[in-house]
Amino acid sequence: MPAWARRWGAAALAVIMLMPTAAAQERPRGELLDRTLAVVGGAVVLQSDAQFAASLGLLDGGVGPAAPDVATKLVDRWLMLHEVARFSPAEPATAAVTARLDLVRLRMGSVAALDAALARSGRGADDLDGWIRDDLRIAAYLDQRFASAGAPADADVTAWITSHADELARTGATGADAARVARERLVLARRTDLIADWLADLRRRIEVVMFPG
Amino acid sequence: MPRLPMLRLAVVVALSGLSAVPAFADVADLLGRRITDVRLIAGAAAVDDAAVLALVETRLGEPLRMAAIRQTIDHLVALGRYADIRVFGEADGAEGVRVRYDVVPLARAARIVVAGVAGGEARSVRSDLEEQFGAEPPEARLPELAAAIATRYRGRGYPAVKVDTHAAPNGQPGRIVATFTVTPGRQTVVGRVQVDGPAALTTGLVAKLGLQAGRPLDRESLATRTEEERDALRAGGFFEAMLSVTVDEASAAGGAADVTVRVDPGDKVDVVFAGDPLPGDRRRSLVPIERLRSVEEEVLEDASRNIEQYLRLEGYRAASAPVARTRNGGVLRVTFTVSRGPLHVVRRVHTSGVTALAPAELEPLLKLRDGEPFVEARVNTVAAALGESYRVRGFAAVRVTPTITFPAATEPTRVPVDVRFQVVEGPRSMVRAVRLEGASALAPATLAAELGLGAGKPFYRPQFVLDRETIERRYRNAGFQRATVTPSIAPDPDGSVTIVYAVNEGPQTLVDHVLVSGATRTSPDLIRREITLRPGSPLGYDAIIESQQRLSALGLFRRVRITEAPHAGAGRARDVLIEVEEAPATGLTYGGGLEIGPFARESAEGTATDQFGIAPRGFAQVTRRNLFGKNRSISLLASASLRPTDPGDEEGPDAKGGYGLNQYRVVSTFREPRAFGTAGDAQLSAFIERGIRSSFNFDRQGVRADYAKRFANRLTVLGRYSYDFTSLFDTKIDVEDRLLIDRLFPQVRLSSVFGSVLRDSRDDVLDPQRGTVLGSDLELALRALSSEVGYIKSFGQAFAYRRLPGSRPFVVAAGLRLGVARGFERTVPRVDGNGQPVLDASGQQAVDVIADLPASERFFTGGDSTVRGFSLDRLGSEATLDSDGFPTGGNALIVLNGEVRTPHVKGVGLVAFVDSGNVFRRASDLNLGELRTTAGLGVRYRSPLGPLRFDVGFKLDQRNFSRGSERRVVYHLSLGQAF
Repeated sequence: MPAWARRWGAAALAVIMLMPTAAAQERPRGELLDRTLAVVGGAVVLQSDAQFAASLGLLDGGVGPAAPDVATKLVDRWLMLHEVARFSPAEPATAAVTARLDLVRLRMGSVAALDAALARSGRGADDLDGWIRDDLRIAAYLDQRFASAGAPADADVTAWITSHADELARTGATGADAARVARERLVLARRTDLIADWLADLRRRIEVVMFPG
Repeated sequence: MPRLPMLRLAVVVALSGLSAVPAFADVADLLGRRITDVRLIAGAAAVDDAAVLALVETRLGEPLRMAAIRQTIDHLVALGRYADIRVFGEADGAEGVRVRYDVVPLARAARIVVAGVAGGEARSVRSDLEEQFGAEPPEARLPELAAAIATRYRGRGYPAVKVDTHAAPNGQPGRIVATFTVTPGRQTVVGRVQVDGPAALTTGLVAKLGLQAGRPLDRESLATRTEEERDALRAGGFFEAMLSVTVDEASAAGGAADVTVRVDPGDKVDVVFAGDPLPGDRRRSLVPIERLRSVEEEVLEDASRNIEQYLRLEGYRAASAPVARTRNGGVLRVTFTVSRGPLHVVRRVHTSGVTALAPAELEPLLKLRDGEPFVEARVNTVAAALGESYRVRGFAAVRVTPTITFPAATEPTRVPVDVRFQVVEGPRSMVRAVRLEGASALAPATLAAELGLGAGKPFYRPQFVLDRETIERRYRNAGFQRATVTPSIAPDPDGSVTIVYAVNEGPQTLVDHVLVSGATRTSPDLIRREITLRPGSPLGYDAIIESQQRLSALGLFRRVRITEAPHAGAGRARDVLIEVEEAPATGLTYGGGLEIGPFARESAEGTATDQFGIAPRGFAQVTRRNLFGKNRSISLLASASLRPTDPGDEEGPDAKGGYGLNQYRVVSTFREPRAFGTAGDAQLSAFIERGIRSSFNFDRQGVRADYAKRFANRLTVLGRYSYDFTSLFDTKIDVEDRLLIDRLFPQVRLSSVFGSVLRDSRDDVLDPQRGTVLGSDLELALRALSSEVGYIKSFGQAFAYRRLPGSRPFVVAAGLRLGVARGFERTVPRVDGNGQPVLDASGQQAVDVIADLPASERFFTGGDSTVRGFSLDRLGSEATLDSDGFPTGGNALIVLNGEVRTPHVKGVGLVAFVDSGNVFRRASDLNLGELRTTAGLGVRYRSPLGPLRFDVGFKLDQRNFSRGSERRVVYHLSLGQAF
């Protein structure tokens, strides 16, 4: 083994040996049970909220624009909920709530798994029911408020088809199907932009403090 | 690959190192274990504040639950003292778990310092930050504040601005001082300026815009100036002028920005009114071209319609005002040709089809009178009112159609109009029943009793809507924040309706903890005691509002905010957060003014006369609030007045009186709200005062103890014990006219108990328009209480205020004051000038019997708030005025007031009044036939201080005395209404 290799190897060994010791010294004694991720207008977003939402798949295909992490998604959700609550939204239809609950149960596989996930995050069945109802309220509000995302112009549809020719070719969509897909995607993009602008405005009006991990 | 073996070794060693870290149980393994230890650690120190520890829901001996951890974090964050909270669990033996909360105190910037810029600019920056981020932004947002400052400076032409942030403790827990040091860097300057537009309008424009080459380019100021110059152009008649300023960004990056200014003035506008005249003062409002700075077609059409509408409201039903635009030599002429047409006048108004209602019920609604100008809008208003009158009575399908006919006109400029209201009543709907479905938390019978509609009542749709809101409000107040009420109407075959309110109650929200934030000097217990929200009680809207009002009424806080602390979970209980901003503990108030009016003086002949005078006066009060955090307060008030004085009899005939500090009052008060554990307030006062009355002056020192309790129906009950010494001086009453008690007790010690009941329902204390005041007092001074003289005295008062109907209503006010008193007899041994006993004919020491009240306690009247034809205290009868007209006071009093107050026009109103009253020597002398009446007029001005009052009172029966006569006219200048 060359000398330079021995020197570098020894140095790396020393660094690596020291790392766990330092980690052991700085690591708080005990297991992290929960912590604040953010405070939004006085409301707390907790790590257990993130675990609850993530483990039950409540943020998958949920409402609002895509956010880079769960904490930001939860902050956005709270901002939307806060705004929606100002308008005394109607109770969601029982069938819609049941359908979503069934979806969560299906996703969790068993009642025991669902109960364990709820207990782990300090939630109960009522909380899950309330979460789903709030999601439906937000969705109804967004549908109502951003229904006017507007039909895209023919020129925009054509431009989208041209720029997404490869994707369309993979799915086999041509002609009217391609135009329909283009319209749907353009409307969705426009709606997402509008919601993002709205959320940015809500963030300006409501104090949001994030706590990095 | 020669280095691989060594790296492999390193990894192995590292893994062995990791194995040295204690093994941690999985979170799920810790849940359910019995809690053996709970700690809150802030920084390196354990938190021992009992109020904080009480919020911890993970309690010793209980199994560890995530829900309890979540609730605790919610409480701690809602408390407003902590932000970042981390909770750790550590296994303790086989079944135990130790729980630790690491909390990071929440720091807010109580003070923001902006350094590196001038003072005025720093204040402006601070003001902007406060508006954008609130008065006390959290420390975590300081980077956003720095970014906002940088954006501001970049907008002003400082592209390289640098903002450094520094946070330091300010001495208060959780509060910091945030310092932003601004280094603006080099400001972009103006480079070349190009101006496009007519020379007549662009000359000097560059200087006005501040765009001289080489000067700093402040974009914000430039935008403001551009707008001002554009407005100036439009104000000069170029209503559609455009002014744009464009900065070449490429050149700006180099430090000198090239700027292009473009002026497109458009046409100059000339507005002309032709045809029939239009009032000059209405033209600008009807044709708002100047205000809107626009001559667009829509604006002109609106103006044309405005003119027509205005004339139609004047009775010119066929009025027209077409508009025409003509261009000539750069001038746009806008011409409104006004044609009023004939005046239409109501000739006859009648109804048809009215069967269910009596004509008398509709008559008040037919507000069209014969001979008044015919206005179609008013006819429609009356038709709507008639229809509403039917609908209130259950005729939901009523139709009222006005029909207008034009009988033959006798004059070409005056067209008579007949108006007929054709009523189709339709069927009457009565309410058969009201059903509340889904209501279980609140008793349906109780709810139904609060509704306006019920079985047997006429169905009225607006009331139906109101009733739905009433039900929802009741649920909201009971904590059902998501309750919804869906109303429906089921028609029955007989025409009646059954009303169904389907209630979806939703979950009830209860108060979990009441958290207090911001109270450093005030006891949180005091705050919790004042509010109506209690842990476990429903979280209702009205309770929040009432609690907020109660806390504000304490006067301890500058700001009070009660909010529901949002919980992350969906549980039923919510913390209530009370945020207060305490007022300074010590307050100083002071003020001054002038008392202007007639003062009773002694003339050269020794008679009473009124002389117009000015008396400067002032006061200062220092109050220490919230003693011991219990809302107790102590205050010291000093007030003084400089007034002209007359010499008293004691000073001899050569004395000339003076002008000095002859009226003052110093009073120290300790106040204890909710004294003795009751809802009443107690007050202890000690005072020294000197007062001036018309016929004597007095000094008084004493102490008082008060207990007052307010009741919900505006009723206040007061009890008082008073102990004081009063001595008279500068007495102007002739010696022979003086009462025996005043001669024997020029200084008197009084000890009395006093009780008062007052109900005050006035809408405004200074300028009431509605309501009543009813009050009754009773005072008892007894020698048994160590008073030198005894008496009983009662006083009653009643005032009523009513606003007369009308859009600009008059106010009628009336008042009655009645007082009666009686002195308890006592004997006083008679002594001569040397203090030696005086013997009577039988050789016994002579005694005098007195049965009067001391002068300071007798009734007097006359003055700006009683009988305004007299100056202060100068009203009396033969028995209560001495031979020179000075009042001696009496044991009975009656004052009657009547007043009509006109509506205010531009802040000024008029008053006409009649006041009557008198003072009687004895209660048994009270005689309504001896009342003296004065009448007068007054002016009221709504000043920022309150209604300023000037009254002139005229005596209707001027009297003469042995050595002079009364003045017929008396003036008063004061603040507030007379009564």
